[in-house]
Amino acid sequence: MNRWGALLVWELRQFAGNPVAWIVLGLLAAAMAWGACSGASLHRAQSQALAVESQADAAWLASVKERAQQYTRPSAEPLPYWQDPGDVAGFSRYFLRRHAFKPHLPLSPLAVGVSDLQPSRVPVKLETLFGIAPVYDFEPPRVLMSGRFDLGFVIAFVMPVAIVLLIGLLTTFERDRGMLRLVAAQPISPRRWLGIRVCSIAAWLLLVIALMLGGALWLAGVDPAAAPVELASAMALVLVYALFWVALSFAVVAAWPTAAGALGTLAAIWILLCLCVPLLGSAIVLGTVRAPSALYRIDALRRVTDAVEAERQAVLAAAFAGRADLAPHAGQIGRLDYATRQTFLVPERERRLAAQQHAVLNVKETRERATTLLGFVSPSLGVQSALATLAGTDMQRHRRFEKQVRDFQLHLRDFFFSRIQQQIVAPTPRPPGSYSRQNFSEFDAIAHFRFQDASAASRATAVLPVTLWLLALSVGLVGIAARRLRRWPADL
Amino acid sequence: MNWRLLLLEFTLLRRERRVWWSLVALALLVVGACLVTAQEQIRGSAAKADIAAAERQRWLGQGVKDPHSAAHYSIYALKTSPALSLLDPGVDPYVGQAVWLEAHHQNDGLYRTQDEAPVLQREGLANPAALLISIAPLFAFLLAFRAVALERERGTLRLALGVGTAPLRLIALKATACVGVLVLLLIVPVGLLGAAFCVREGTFSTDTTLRLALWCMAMTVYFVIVVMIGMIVAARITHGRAALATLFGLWTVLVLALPRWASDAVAVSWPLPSTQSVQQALQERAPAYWSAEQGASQHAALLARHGVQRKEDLPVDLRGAELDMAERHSHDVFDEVLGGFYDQVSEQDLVHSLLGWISPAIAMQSLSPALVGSDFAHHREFIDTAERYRRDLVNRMNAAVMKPVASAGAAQPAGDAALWSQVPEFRHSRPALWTAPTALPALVTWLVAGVLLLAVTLRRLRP
Repeated sequence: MNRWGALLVWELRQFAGNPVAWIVLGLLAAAMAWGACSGASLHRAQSQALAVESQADAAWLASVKERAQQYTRPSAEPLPYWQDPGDVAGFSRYFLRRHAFKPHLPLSPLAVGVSDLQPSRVPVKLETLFGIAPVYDFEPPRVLMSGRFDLGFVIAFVMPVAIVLLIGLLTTFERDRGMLRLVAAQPISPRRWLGIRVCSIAAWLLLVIALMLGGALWLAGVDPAAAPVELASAMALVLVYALFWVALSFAVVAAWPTAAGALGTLAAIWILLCLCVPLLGSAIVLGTVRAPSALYRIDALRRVTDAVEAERQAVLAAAFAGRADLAPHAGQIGRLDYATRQTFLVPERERRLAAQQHAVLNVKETRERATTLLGFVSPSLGVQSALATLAGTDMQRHRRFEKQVRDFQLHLRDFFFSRIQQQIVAPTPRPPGSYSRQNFSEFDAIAHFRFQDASAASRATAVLPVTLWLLALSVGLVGIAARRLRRWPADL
Repeated sequence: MNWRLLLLEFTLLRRERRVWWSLVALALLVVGACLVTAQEQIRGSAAKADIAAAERQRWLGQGVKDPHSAAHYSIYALKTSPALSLLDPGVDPYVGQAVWLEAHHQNDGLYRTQDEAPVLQREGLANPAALLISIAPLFAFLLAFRAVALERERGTLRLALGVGTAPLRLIALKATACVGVLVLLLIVPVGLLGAAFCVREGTFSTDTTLRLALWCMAMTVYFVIVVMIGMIVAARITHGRAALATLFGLWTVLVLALPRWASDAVAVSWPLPSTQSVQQALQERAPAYWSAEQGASQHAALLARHGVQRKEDLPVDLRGAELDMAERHSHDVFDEVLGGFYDQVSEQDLVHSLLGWISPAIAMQSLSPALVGSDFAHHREFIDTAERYRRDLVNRMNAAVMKPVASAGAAQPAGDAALWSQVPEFRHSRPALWTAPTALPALVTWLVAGVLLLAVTLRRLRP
């Protein structure tokens, strides 16, 4: 072994015997374990709610079918349509219960992302405008306000603090104690001396962080075989992010500051990158990509609903006149029940609100694109978003879910609206003396929602730019450190 | 108080350029966050005022219709933001800002600001209280480190103590200077902005003034506590490096990690029932649309209540009485299921505020929104007020439907503007301030413990 190798081994042993380093890493490991388990606990509860809801939907449908069967008995007084599951219009409005579920991915404990804000369980109703009702699963507002102590938070915010603390302390010992002049008197360049020390710290840190990440996910119950691609990408991303903070710290300590100076500067950089950039970015995005308050949508919805209701006769008459099969039955317009009327009025409401909906979606997408771009300026933001992408708790996956919910709703509308409107053209004869209307019995033909997820490869590809960007930054910062370390400090 | 020595300490702090300019930058950031939050609040309040007025007009001008249809049409109740939420929006961005007061349902609040916000906005800590509670302690620790540990390493502390100044007096002066700088740069500007905002918006009142004063005082006490912690560590640990590392670690643990951990730990240890189970319980126990069998048993109950055998003999309209019966039954269910659920949320908040004993940041995180009026207790008041209003509105409508018709076979009279105008405009008031701050004892305990520990530490101070 040459003398540089011997120095590296000595430095590695020094780190291994440093109690402060292990206290810091121990606390970080505990934080990672808690974060992963906390995220897993939230997602377990949500998955359980999905399973219970699915069972409740099935039980409801079974009870509805049973009632429909019971109501086939003869009766002197017919059942009101809103109490009759055998009436297609009544069923569609008062009995149809379908939910769309967004199941969690195997690696979900990696980051809570937006899973505590956005619903993973959405009721699909035919009259909901644009498919998505503004529903959510209630989470304690205090927890939402302070933010989750999840693995994503620990990796993005706490891990950098541990890294800068260790490098800031362990590389400035000689400087603080006035021993640097003794080191400088040895036949070794400053670049090699500090470089080997930082390399030894980095080697330990990367190894321990990889083990801690794996251990935390294992504790949270993640099956590595269930998401190998995402897991490998997450490991690479976290290690590159750790490397970035090591390289940044290296560039700072390469200026030979004291521990106080190094930690002060690194703390300022941490605040700048992790807090100030998102804060300023948020202010700029909100200021430039403006949207009217979401509350104005209430006003628009009420105005359009009132207007459509006021023009109801005209809207229905136009809808009947526009269809060859309905036109001869225009005389029935005044006798249509509420649910049947809605099959014509809901699309009209959506048509009138489409421009506003389009504008809202545009603003959301622009703001989300800006967030992605800012992730390249604030590594913590970029890493949190990337971890959420790999965990399947990101906003893009939720948008995909919303889009599929809308498609599913349109499919259900096709199924029911055609059958309801067919009753205008050719009503099923009511069985003589029947309690129920009996024009609908296809309960088992109603479709179920199945979420089509993006592939694991596409998730891994989505986080590749951030990973490569952090790697490039790390290389650049190491270059800056190497340039600074051409000579020993003048004030030895 | 030796004013000349205090002035000297101020001057010394001012000369630490890196720390000074970093503090100025933080002060600008806090003011910037305050302005951004204020702007959002102005826009939000304007939107709410517009929509509330439009809703009232729509309610009054809905024309002639069946009162039960009017109860379904109903209104949206809008939550007014607390006057001082520019200082600490608290839970406001995470709770519904509007609720539809519909018959049969106690609906959830809708349009949470954060639902539509990009991830960036959630990460931004974009409010003054979050910055003051999370970031300012790091600067307080740096100031304390500079004032004690660094002066000891430079030998100036030995000189200062050598001229006969008592350690307690000297450190008290240094602490006063540190707290003074923090208050002057970080609290005074946002306090003034808060007051100016209230004057501009016309929300200045005794309650607002008291809340603002108490918020500024609580934040000052918080700064005193963190400066004292910094002084104690810097005085007890004689090696500057070790003192600095400890302070950095303390900031990470006490301020960065523990507040989030505490929120999480409370949520995990005292879990709430899932929204799904709550909704299912409501659907099963108080369905909005009842079945034919349930309808039949309701009819039987109504006949028994009025002591008659036939529907025709009822002294009230059957449909109206049935609607009224189902509605009043749902009130009990809502109180039990939803009321119990919100009680559990409040209990979680109480436990969280008690965890203020393990970190002053947790105590302050709990206290700040309580003082401003943006915590869950205040939101609960809005939920309850809106629900009381809804019940009153629906009961009035049902009473109109219940009126017996003049003659058999006659149509039920429709409601009109005279009936709609009997429903007053929706308003909600905030609960009294003294019911809110449960974290205050924890903060006071931290202050007292800090003073005692600092006094003990200074007795053994080695220059």
